[in-house]
Amino acid sequence: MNASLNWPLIRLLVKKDWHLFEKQLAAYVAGGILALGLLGMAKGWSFYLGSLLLLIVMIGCACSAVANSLVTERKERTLAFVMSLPISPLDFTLSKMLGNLVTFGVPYLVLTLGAVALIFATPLPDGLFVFWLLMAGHILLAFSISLAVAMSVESEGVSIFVMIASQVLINPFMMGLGQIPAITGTTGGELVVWSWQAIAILAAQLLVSAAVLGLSTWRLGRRAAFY
Amino acid sequence: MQRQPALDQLRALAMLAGVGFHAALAYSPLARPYFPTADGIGSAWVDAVIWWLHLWRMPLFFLISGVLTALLVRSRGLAGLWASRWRRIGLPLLLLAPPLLWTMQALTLHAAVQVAQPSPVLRWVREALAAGHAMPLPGPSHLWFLLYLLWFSLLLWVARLWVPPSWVRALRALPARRLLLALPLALAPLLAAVPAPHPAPESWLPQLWALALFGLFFAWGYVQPPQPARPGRWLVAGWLVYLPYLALLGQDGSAAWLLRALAGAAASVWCTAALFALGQRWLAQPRAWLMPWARASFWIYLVHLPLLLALQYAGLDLSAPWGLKWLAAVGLVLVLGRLSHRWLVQTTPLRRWV
Repeated sequence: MNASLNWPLIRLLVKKDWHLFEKQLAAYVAGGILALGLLGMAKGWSFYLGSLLLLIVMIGCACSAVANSLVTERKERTLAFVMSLPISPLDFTLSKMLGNLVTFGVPYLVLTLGAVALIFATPLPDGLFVFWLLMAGHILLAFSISLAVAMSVESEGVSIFVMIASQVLINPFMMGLGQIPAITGTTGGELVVWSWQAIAILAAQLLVSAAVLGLSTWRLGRRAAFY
Repeated sequence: MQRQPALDQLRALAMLAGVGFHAALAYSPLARPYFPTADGIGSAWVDAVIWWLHLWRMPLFFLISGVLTALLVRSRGLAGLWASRWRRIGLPLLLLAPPLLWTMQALTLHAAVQVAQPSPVLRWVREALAAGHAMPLPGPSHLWFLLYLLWFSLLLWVARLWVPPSWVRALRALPARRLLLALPLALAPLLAAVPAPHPAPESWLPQLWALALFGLFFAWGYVQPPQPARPGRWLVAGWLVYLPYLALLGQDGSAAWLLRALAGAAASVWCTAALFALGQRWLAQPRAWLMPWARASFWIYLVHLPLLLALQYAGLDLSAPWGLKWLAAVGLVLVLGRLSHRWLVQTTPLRRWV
């Protein structure tokens, strides 16, 4: 494995991925602002619509980021061109990881923090904070798994299946949270209550996300060749 | 980017009008239930003047911001715009919003306890404190304008990627007169969606009606600033159409509500455009008496409301004609604003951002 990284080329590849995804990202950002505006109207119908739109935007952004930078690149054979550049598998892996973390991470953070501000700055019960963080944690975990799989497998079908399945699992995840009284019992209240169950779930989400991404980077970066 | 003396001075005048406007809210019968320093005395003449100011003052600020944003993007690109927004708006907001908002909340809590003749808002705060309710997190108050500038900088990036250039060219080719007649029709539904006079969108999160309303003025300034042929006539038309708006304030009924929204939209668009054009004409050269206010205008904008609250809370129990109280408050705010700008900004690192 070549120990020195080609940072100028990594930066170029990240910029390339940003440029290819920029228009879609702008649409997701606009959708996110619309969602926050709807949530901020503090009416029943606007809260339902806004929270649904927020989830759609975050999940859509997660899937699109991975699809654009990895799946489409393989399909359109752009990867063959990238392989002809003076980069190692580690450089390529890092550029994909960083590129995706930027293209998804920035809107993800903005929308997550925006929703947190919404909870504390509006009549919405502050107890929703924990529930919202757990949902955001799931989206991050699903994104991490999708990214790791898309980088590891050649199959477009497998990548798309994992993307969709991991994000759709948010439904049973929400139902599962609903079965934990220590979490759902406090969502309607004004206090932010961190039960051990909520802490454990959030910690697991963050640790597994980091582990999945870290292991993938390590494994793929150690390859002697791209295939 | 070259400084634009006409825009700087116009912005300074709008800022000075803003200080007068906020001070006058204390004597407005319409604003009495909502404004914390509402005095027991006032006059319907205050409403006649200030709600006209209210219709064009903030739209004018956003129009000017749109023009300046276009110049900045042309000279430094979008990345340059965001760097400038972070330095001139994001950072001051992060650093100064907490102490300013905390000061305003502390002043209100103190006044709620101390003032013998409280306003309805102070009375409500007093009752809430007595009942043991915790005070909610303060909203952005008058700093909402800075937040919206940041939202518009983000939405500008979206618009540049999605709006076809042919649409922009078509908008630029529209005759000024046609735009001046069409824009009130676009704005009227937005004004109809909120109570009249429309409230300030003082929320940490974007309010859709405000994004659309002020966004239209921002976009107008960005794409093609208004250059009506006879701005004086549009100003007179704006004032004339304001009169039915004023007459319909406080009236219920769907006909009143629609007419009021349309009249308010027309007054807002026509007065904003006319004042912008007149400002470009009359303020093209720097004026010695106005330029110092232009340089201090951002700082005075930031600190004027806490200063005003302190002065007007102190004056609630004083018996004096409201006109005198208003003059004293405005005068002191402006003097303290200029002095504090000289001592706290011009001679310190703050001058890099404020």
